[in-house]
Amino acid sequence: MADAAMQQQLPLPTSLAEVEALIRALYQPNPPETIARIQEVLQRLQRSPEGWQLAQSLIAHREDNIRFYAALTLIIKLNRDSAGLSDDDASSLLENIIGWTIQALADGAGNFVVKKLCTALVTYFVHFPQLWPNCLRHFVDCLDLGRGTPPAGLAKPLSTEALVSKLDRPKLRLAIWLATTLVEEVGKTDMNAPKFAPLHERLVKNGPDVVYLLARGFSPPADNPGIKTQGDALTCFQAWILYAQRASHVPDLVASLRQLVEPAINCFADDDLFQPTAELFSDALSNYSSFFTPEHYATLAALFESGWAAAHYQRLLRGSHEEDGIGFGLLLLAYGDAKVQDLMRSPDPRSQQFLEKLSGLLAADGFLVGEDAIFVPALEFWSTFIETMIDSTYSDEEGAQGWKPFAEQHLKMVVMSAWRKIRWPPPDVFASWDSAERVAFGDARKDVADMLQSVFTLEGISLVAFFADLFLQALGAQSWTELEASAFCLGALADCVSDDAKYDLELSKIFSSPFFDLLGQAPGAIPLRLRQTGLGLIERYREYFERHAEYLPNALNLLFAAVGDPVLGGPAARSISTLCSSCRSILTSEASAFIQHYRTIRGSQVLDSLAEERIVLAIASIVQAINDEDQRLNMFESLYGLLKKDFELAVQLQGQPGLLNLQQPDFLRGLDASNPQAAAPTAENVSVNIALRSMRCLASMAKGMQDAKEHPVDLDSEPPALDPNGRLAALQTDILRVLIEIQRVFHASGEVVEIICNIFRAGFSETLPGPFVFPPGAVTEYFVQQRFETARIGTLLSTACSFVGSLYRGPKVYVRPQLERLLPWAVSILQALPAPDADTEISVNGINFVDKVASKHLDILFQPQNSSLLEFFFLFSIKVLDGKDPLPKFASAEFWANFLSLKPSSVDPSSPAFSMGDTLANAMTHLGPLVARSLVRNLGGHAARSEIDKLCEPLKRLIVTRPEAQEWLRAALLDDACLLPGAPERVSADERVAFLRKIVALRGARTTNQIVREFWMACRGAQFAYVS
Amino acid sequence: MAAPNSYYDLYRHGSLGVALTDSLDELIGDERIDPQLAMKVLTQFDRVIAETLQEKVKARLTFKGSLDTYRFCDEVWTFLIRNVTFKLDNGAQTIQADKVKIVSCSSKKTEDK
Repeated sequence: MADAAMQQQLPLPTSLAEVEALIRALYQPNPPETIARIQEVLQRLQRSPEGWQLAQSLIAHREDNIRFYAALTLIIKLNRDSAGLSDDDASSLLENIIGWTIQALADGAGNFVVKKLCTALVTYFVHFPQLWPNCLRHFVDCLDLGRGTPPAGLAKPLSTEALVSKLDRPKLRLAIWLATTLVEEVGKTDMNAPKFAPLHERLVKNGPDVVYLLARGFSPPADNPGIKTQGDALTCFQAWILYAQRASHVPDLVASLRQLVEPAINCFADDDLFQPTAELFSDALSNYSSFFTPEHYATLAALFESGWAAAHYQRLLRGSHEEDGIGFGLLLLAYGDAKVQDLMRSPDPRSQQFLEKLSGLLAADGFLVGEDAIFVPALEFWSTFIETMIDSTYSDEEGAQGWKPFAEQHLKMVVMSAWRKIRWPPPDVFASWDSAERVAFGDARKDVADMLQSVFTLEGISLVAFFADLFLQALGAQSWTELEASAFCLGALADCVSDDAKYDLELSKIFSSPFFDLLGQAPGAIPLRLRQTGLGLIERYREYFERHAEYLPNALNLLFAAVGDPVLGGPAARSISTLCSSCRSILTSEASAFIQHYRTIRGSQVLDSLAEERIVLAIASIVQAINDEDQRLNMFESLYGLLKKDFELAVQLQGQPGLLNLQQPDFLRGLDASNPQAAAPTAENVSVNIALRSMRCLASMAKGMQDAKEHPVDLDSEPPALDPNGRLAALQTDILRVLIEIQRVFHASGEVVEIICNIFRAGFSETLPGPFVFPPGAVTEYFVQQRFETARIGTLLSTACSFVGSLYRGPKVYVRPQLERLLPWAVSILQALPAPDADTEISVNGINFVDKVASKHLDILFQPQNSSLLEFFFLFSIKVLDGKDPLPKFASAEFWANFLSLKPSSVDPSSPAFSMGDTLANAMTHLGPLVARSLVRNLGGHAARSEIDKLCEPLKRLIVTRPEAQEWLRAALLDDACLLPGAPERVSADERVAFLRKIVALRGARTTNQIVREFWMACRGAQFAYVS
Repeated sequence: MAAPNSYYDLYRHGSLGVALTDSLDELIGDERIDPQLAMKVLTQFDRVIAETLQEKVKARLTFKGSLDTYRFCDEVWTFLIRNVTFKLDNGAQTIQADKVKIVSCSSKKTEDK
């Protein structure tokens, strides 16, 4: 309809004048819809049988845009209708296009028109390579004659070289354009496809002609100095090198092209050509280093020693990278990369001087990365160099490592330069950078950190000592940027050294230095960046503090002091949490002081919510490590009491909004942290924010209270019952009461439910009693009170799955009573769904829950009172299997795979399920055909490709475990309605039976997946075989 | 593995590649594209994902574990590591895994060096 409307608005033009008017209108400023309509009409014209004639009529037009359209029409016609041309027609067409191209050049048509005509010629070559085998020689011949000739007429005694030498510069340039387009366009076709093999063969045969063309193109133009052809020759040469690399087995072409390297190197001498020449050599050296011969490398090495190179090098180090570029530096690095092994192993002066130049690139003027753009590529080279050193160190015999001292000298320079370069700029300079420059600066520092870790593999402790010395020197001189850089480098080595005590001597020099007194001074005494890096250093070396507890209180005091800082607060809190968690057992005596510290901070300011959670986690982890239970519970209650007050306040405020008083600090905790200046926060918002903030802190407490120690597990004995003593039980009851109350008051908040789930989960993994290790009955009671309408009910179902997992790991006595209550609840949630695909999370977690129950307690599943629930669930899971939602489908496939594997004997012998083989068999008699049908439906083309492997699992289990499976599957396979529409025509009944025979014979072996995949593909059709 | 002059197709098995293939299947099924185009899209995907991971992704992690098995065959390194702890770029966050298999292929084309 839309097309019809368009045609009504813009009918096809009836004269050439109208076509020309349309083309002109296409390039005029017009609304997009008008342009789209014009384009549509012009494209229809191009595709019409009159297209050839149209192109011919317009190709000699005086206007470039119209000529361009004509050339484009030729390309379109060649691509669409070339099959209809006889050889004679095709030959005359070629003659014409060549003639038009030469004429366009002679007429002074725009370059874009002439280049488009070159593309038309190449399109011709792609379609008729057999009619135009020596395309370049023939084209040069035509250029010489000044007209198109039939390709068959090419029998001149003159060599291509002689013909090329007769061309004037414009014609030479045109021939080079054709050679460039030729290799670029042919290179886009598939080199491995037999269809294009003759095309590539003929292209390669043109290689020697390209060399003649480019050899002349590289020579300075004596005949017409106004037209330089070297730039075009470089572009063409690069395209042919790329092609030769991709084609990989074209030794004759490579040998021909190698003759052009020297002339191309000479282009460096021309300032205008420096950038493209450097780009060509950098690209070829980086990606195709074997293209160059030892003589080429020697020429390049000599070039790098010349005065010309010295001038470029100095400009690179001292000039502006933004204005001059870094082409020369990249060229040096590409050469270094190509010769890295030789350079590393050669102690000769030439190699050593070259490596010095490369390490010097790390010391260019300017800050990273905005001013100094060569540092990062240079660092990349040195990282490769270091990796090569490491490889050689381990592979070479010890006696053959004479190269190592030389290489290590360069490493020292590299490390020193990198250390200097990563120093932060002054704050005003940093502030003037855009975000990309700031990110790039940070990334470059990370690259340095990576490089240092590699160097550590070679240098070990001496590298740590090196930075420790730099650190202490900078500290003595109060040189803050150098001190920060040293601390950063030491931090980078933390992963390599921190858990090994042999480095402690060096590290103690750092951590016993006055630096940490400086950190403790008021903000402003030292730069913020230095404080940040210094605090980070404490966190990175937490294992050191575990071994040296004497430094720990001081370090933690520093961190606590920084918690209120808007910039340092987050990292400081993270460091506190990491450090306290790691060193919990040596900090137990400080628990009370830390709680007091936290109370004081809370009273004086509103902390960032995440920072507060981390501090609470840190304190809770110390509390957890207290051995004496009474003392532990005292500390716990003390911390919990702070949060409980917040809960009470939140509930109170929700009930009485009039209580809101933003002058009181307690209420300020409920302001939106991301937008503290938001106008007039409501009491409702404040109360929910206070509740959520404290809930998150409580979840952090639960996480902190998790036991970090690994206890021996006796697999044969029954886990002990987790009977909490009276005080602990009361505490648990209180926490649960608070959670339920908060959920009741803030029932619309999904986040509250999510946090409650996190709190429960923290307790599920514990093996010893604790405040968050709630009695199983209480947890079950909480779950069964939740309804379908409860916010985040899917998350609750997922938490219930985790709960079942924890029950299985605990005492058996708790398991049955909980499952008997939870199973009906979980299925009732599924029943409340309006459709199986209405809520992915509920479907997935509901199915997973039943799967978990069935895996160990089949008898609970088949209890008579559950029969209607069970019937619903089985049909529900089959509907899900038939559906389109991938995640529930995967859950259902997994359920059926597990369920089909169940044998009464595989469950616990003490369980009543042990003797329920008949029940299972009866169930499968009814369900088997349905499952088989659903699987066949999916694998017969309805499933997505990515689902096949998952769906193969229940299929394999069905075949292995049920003797009737073959009949069920046969019935489904022979029912055309089961397969994708169209599949029954593509896969005959015999083929389907053969498929069945194959998969049955495989008896669940892994090859089944491949057979199923082939069947799926056959059902879908050949067009789906595009991917292996 | 990949032909010498093309990119590895191993990222097609990642979640992005799998989702892309499913989407292409759907478009072919609806007759909105032909398989040749789908094949080109996947080839393009192979190139772009390899280049993007190499050039654009700056996030990094470190890991420690016990090296169980390693092999080097047909230019492919394979490492099986047990009890692995991954430490992410942002500092404190760690991820534990019992067993990790790392398959690494050269980022340089085979005829390059």
